[in-house]
Amino acid sequence: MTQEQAERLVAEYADMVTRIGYTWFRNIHDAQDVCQMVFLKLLTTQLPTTGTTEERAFIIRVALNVCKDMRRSAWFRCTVGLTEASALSVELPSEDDTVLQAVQALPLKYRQVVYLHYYEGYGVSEIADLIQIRPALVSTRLARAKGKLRILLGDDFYEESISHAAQSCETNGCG
Amino acid sequence: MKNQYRTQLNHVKLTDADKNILVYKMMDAQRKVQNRRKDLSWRMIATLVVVVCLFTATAGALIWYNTLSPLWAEGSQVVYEENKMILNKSQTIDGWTVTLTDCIGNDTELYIGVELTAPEGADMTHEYYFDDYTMTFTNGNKDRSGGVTRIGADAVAGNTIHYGLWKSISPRITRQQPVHGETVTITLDQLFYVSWKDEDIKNPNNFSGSDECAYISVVDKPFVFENVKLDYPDAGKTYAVNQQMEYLGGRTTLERIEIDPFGVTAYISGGSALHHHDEKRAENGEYLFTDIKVYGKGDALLYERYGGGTSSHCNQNTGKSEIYHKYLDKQRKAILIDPKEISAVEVNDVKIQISK
Repeated sequence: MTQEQAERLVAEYADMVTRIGYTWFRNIHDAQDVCQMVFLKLLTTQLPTTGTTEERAFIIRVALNVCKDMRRSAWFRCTVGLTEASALSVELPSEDDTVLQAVQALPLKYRQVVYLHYYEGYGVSEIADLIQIRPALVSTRLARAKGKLRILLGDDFYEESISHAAQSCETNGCG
Repeated sequence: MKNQYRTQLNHVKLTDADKNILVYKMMDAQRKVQNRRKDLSWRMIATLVVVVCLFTATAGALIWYNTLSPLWAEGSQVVYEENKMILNKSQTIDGWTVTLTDCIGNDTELYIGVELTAPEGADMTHEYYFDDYTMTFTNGNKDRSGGVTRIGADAVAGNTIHYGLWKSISPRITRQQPVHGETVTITLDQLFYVSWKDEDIKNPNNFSGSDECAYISVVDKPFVFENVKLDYPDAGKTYAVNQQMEYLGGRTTLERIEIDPFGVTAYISGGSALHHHDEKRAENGEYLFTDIKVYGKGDALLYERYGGGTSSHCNQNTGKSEIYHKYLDKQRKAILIDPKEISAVEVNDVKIQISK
């Protein structure tokens, strides 16, 4: 891999991978580890064609697998020994992060589908393919996640959030 | 909600500087792999020489393990070979063999190599783990600090998997029992693997788990290793200093330093180390630490503290502090340095020449 290729991959996908790690582990230190491990894995991996949706989906799959591997090992971190400060620093939400915190409070199986659907914009069948579960289960998890978010955020806030988002979209021109 | 979620999650990102670091790490890793393929470095050759010599010297010791070697960065292997102790204690239950291979440590860290050999036909695509471990001392004290983790990307080779049992030792800080020279019993609890399949998650017979994964027991009995003598070499050396040193904006006394293959411990007392928390000079833990540089032959820089890898214990009322710096390279990978190779150690503004 050339330096230019590495720079392109990092520029296009590092933030996405960090967010996947953050969604899984709810803390930024593990998210940083996920990011580092994913990009080191990519060095020895044959990637799909540059810049395609297949490439993006492939890297998401690698990130999810790294998260699974890390979660298995993380289970053993009974105590923290000598602290090795992380090499990478991450900017964290500093202002109102109510919705993010509500999503992060959900169990992993819900957080994961919420991230892939609401952030990455994947449909049910694409998510099913990414995380290797049945489409019906993805739909169920999304529905249950919405229900839980409605409880966590409150009905009013939930609806208000949508209308606020709609206004924001009008102003900012988001899709 | 969707857009708020997106907006708020957008803040979770790497800085541009850190993206550059990530690219650098990728390129560096690639270069190391390529170099490794090209030829045997002189250090690897030296390692082989050491191994061969030790084989010859230890008649009957036909098995030599390097289980823990991947824990340290390239270049540390000679120091690892010189400072480890072969344990070679095995237990087989239900066809699964667990071997305590070797150990290495100092007063602050202990690592024990563990090799798991699966029976014929075992599914090696599963990731196998031990539930927990216990170290029992002859006086009955038990210690479960630390853990057992798989080692390196190449942990699985054929039907064997390598693990490292590691623990931090803090006898001066938490009154943990020192381990060097002790004879202990090591118990590795049941062996299992993690399943993410729905049918396994729902199966109440699986011994543990959560709504996200299930733990499938493979060997439900503990592997018990009695009379494990932790007599690994102690290469640590202490040097008296007793010089005034800059610390937290004032002066304190650097009493002595201890150097060993894993790191440097600086002992300071009095002066600006007194009441440093009360006087708000050391609110952030980072400020407690010192700058450390370790030099080798010809004043070549062997180690410089880039952050991390440090632990400390202080009594701010007496001003006595012990600050341990674990050697890490720029990529925060642990390294081992032979104390015999060290010519000088610089702690803040004090440089100590190491006499041979």
